[in-house]
Amino acid sequence: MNAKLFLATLLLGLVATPTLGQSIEPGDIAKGAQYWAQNCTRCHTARLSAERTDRAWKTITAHMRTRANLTKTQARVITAYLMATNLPEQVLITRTVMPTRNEEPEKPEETTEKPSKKEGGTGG
Amino acid sequence: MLQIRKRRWLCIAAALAFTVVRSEAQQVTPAGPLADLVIAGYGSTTYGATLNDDLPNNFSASLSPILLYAMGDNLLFEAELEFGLSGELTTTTLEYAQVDWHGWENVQVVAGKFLVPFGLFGERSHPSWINKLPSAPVLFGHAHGGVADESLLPILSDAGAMLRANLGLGERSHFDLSLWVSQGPRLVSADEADDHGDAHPAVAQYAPGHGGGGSIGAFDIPRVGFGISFSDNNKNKMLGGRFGYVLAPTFELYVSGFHSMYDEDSFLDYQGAALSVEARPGGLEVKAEGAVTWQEFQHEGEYETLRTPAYFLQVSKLFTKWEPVVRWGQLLEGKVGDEPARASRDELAVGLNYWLDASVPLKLAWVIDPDADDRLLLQLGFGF
Repeated sequence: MNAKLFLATLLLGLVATPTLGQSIEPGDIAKGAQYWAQNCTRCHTARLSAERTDRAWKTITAHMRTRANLTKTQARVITAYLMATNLPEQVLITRTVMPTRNEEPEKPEETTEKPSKKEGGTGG
Repeated sequence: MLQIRKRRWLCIAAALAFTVVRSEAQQVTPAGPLADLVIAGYGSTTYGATLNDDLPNNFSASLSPILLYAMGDNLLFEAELEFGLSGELTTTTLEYAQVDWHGWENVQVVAGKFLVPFGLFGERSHPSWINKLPSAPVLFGHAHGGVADESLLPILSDAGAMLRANLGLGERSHFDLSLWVSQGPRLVSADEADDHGDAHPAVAQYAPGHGGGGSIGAFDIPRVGFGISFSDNNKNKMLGGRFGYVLAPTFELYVSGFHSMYDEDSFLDYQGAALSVEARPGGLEVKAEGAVTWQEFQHEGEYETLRTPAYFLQVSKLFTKWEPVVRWGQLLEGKVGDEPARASRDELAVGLNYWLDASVPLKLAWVIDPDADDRLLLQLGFGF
């Protein structure tokens, strides 16, 4: 009885984990890494995922969709890549290294679920 | 019995704690529409010095916040303001304020005031943390949405509607198409030109009073302004387009063109055509743009056409954090038939950038202009 109550609460919590309406399909993150490397450096140095919250990246990628004339799919998977790599641990490592043009990003381990992280970051 | 009670309390406490943690995590993001408002943008602070004792050395600064608000997955409202100083006044400019419709896979619809995709520099490269030099090339000058006296065109921003299409060819390549209709240029009086012809706050301006770019010869060429008002001066609208091939991220080639009429009676044509190339072989970045404008005007009862070409070539290469850059640009002599009507202007800029962060370049440049005094520019640009 008690175990069921605990399990139900846990399940409710997991189901309610925010995904920002972002549906991530297999292959999206690797594709997103590829499009990020190919398109974001066409005009400027690539910005690191740790600079913004997931929610902010979704809006900024929509803004960049218009600027760079990206397709809807490209914008979606780039957002998926930025959200998947937006881990606080990476801030310490990546902030000291500036990505340059034509530099292939490290492809994260493919997963259909967004790695857990606290909503937050440097913000707007 | 006591153990069962204890376990029950433990479960309730654990469930409560979990709920509290989750609700606290959700409170990190503010509720309501502000939760979806994102502020980005860029700014710069610049010091310009000249060896001429008669000209002052200046500090200048600007800030351009961009406000983004996404409404669902398909609608984005975005606007960019610019705060700068012009003379003794603080200027506020609306660079763009537009609504983007993202409902389709390959096509986007934009409406409002937007950066006109004629060429590449004005639409994509002018922000101070993106532009590799502290100054703008002679092709797209310092004035923004105003009157370009010392360059071929200002950075074009205009009110209207635009359709953009990404026609995919493969993993890395696509055809890139933009078509727009907007209010277009308008004839401006000398007073209006003074009001709107000030320097773009995001890029350092040259020493005042140099001879390049102005009218010469027997012709009095009317001044034309872009995007200086939401009220058009005629029924005519500017029609334009840009078509390009993109092999991301190494090669891009675009042709652009527009047609418009700028006088109140819609008699006088103003047309432009541009060719833009960007290539990034082996870490090198090469940007080249050339454009021609044709401006019709009346002279002694006859219709005449001023033809003015301009171009620039820029090469840069990033070595970890250091980035040397050189740019050569020419505003060629504007001619009416074979007669000179607008002064030429040359510019060579040699710079060295140091990237303090991925979006913070410290830029030092020596600008050589045969028609004016050479100028040293030091600029800290930042994107956020």
